[in-house]
Amino acid sequence: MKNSLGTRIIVSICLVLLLILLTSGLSYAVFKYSKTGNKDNTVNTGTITFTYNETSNGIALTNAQPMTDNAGKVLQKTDDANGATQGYFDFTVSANMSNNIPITYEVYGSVESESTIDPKYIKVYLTDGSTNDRAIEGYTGSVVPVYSSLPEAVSNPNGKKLYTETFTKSALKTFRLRLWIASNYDNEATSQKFIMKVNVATVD
Amino acid sequence: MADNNSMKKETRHLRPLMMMLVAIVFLVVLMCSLSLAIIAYDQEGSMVNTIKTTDSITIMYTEGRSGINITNALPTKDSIGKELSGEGATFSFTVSAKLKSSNVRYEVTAIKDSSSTLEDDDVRLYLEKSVDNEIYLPVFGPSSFTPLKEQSSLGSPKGSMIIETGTFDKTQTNNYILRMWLKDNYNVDKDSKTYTVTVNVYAASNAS
Amino acid sequence: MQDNSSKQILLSVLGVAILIVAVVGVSFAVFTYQLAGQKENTITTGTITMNYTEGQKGISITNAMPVSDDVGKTITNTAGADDTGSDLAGGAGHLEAGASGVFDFNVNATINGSVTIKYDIMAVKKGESTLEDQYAKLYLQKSDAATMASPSDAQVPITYDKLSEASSAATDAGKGLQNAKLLHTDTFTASATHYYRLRMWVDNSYKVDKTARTFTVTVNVYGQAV
Repeated sequence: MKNSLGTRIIVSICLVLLLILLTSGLSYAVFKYSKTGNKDNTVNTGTITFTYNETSNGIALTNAQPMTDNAGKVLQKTDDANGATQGYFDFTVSANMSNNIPITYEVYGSVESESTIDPKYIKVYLTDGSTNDRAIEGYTGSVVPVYSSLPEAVSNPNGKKLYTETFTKSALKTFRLRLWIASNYDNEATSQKFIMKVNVATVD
Repeated sequence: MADNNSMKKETRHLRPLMMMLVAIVFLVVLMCSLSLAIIAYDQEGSMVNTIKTTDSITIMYTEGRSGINITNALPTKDSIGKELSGEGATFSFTVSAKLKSSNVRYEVTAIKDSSSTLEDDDVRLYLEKSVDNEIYLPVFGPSSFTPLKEQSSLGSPKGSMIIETGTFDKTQTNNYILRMWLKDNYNVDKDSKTYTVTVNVYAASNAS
Repeated sequence: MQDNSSKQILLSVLGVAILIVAVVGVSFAVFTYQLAGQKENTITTGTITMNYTEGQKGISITNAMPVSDDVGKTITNTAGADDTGSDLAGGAGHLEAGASGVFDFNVNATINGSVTIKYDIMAVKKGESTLEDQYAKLYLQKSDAATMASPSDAQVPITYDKLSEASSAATDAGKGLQNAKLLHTDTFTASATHYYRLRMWVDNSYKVDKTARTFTVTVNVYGQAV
């Protein structure tokens, strides 16, 4: 019994050794060459810092009265009794690039859900916020556009594009946004409101 | 008178000794002459090596036209090496005997040239034999060169390798084909190396 | 008395003679032959030499911005002569003075004998790389001329993450390396030199932000006879 077991063990060991020998015999190579390179090949990415800075409180049209475009265009900022800002809203968009490349961005508005005034009565007017407060492209016409007529934002289908531009180098742009209720709006018996957020996003 | 007698006595004692000495010298000289006649062999010529002893034994080792000469050799599997053919790829030779009533034992031995730079393990040798010069059968290898540790009884020197042994008991010619190649797991590099062997035959017979 | 002595001598001599003949007769019974061959049987090995030679400089592009493959494939090797270096076309990045926009190297084999050498060109990413693999684009060209005349695509533009780690085409030595990808496999059947040019750029899917990132590879070559 012992001999039989011993024989089997020996045979098993021999078979394993044979298998190892066969395997190692099959894995040889006639010629081998190996060289590790020394030269580093490096790409360092550039950087862009894109900043949207709100320099004043947002606009909240509450209990505002309809007005003409001429009156709306010259609205001054005031804070009402509730602390809400009426008038205009200032913000900046800037890009700081390590390399001059074109960056396209859009400023778009998104209406908060608690708004109750139909956007077709909300006038939107954008200027450069300078001393002369010049209207920027898209707002230079005789009729100030209403929010609902603005094109759909590229970066957010639920938003409305207020403005788009391409930076080709590091730059800073200031904006002043005015919102007012169009003169053809019929006042409701109850208080209505319109709350819009301003967003900035880069687009391809 | 007494002196003459003693001288004569001395001479008589010396004479048998001198005769014995002469006889022994004669027999030694006779023996040496016979030995010299047996050992002498003809080594002239490059094609045929022959020894002729008496009329009862002739043994010949005949080399083919050319030996193996493989250049730019690369590692080769045994299955390929065994089939090598053509000029310079094989070495053919014959060992033959003409016998009347004796047996001759012989060895075919590979002698490695000292100029070889490959290791013994890097080459493979393979010998085939035929008695009719038609059907060849393997008689040695494929095997690496494994040197003898001692001189063999037939005279193959230490450091050589016996690749065939045989016995002639009648007149016969044995044909051989030797092949040699680079072992299949040899690592080729930038240095060219060589391995050279020659083939000798050593034989002995019981003859009176 | 003299006769007895003589007989004794004769018998002695005869005895010795018989003894000698008997001994010699036994010696004569074993004849040895030595037949020395003249033909030399020689094998001389072939030789294989292989070399991977790197160009003087590796790629060093700074301020790299995402660009298309059409732009990346045209990255040149020229850097500005002054200290400010030069900007690569299409915004691909900037070369400092003396820096290189491409990496040239060659692989050479000298073969005596009939053999096929297969070799792998592997790109090995360095651990300090911070740009993700899917944004680093590599492109390898091959030419038979040192001037890289009439180059062919050895590896079309591909992001590093899409290179295979170790395919069946890779040599034994090329498999299993950490952070290594197979750029290209080729063969030598005779002595020859293969010339290569590597380009790298930031894929145009990368969103640039305020963080500068780097991607560094070295190139290794592994060969074996098949």
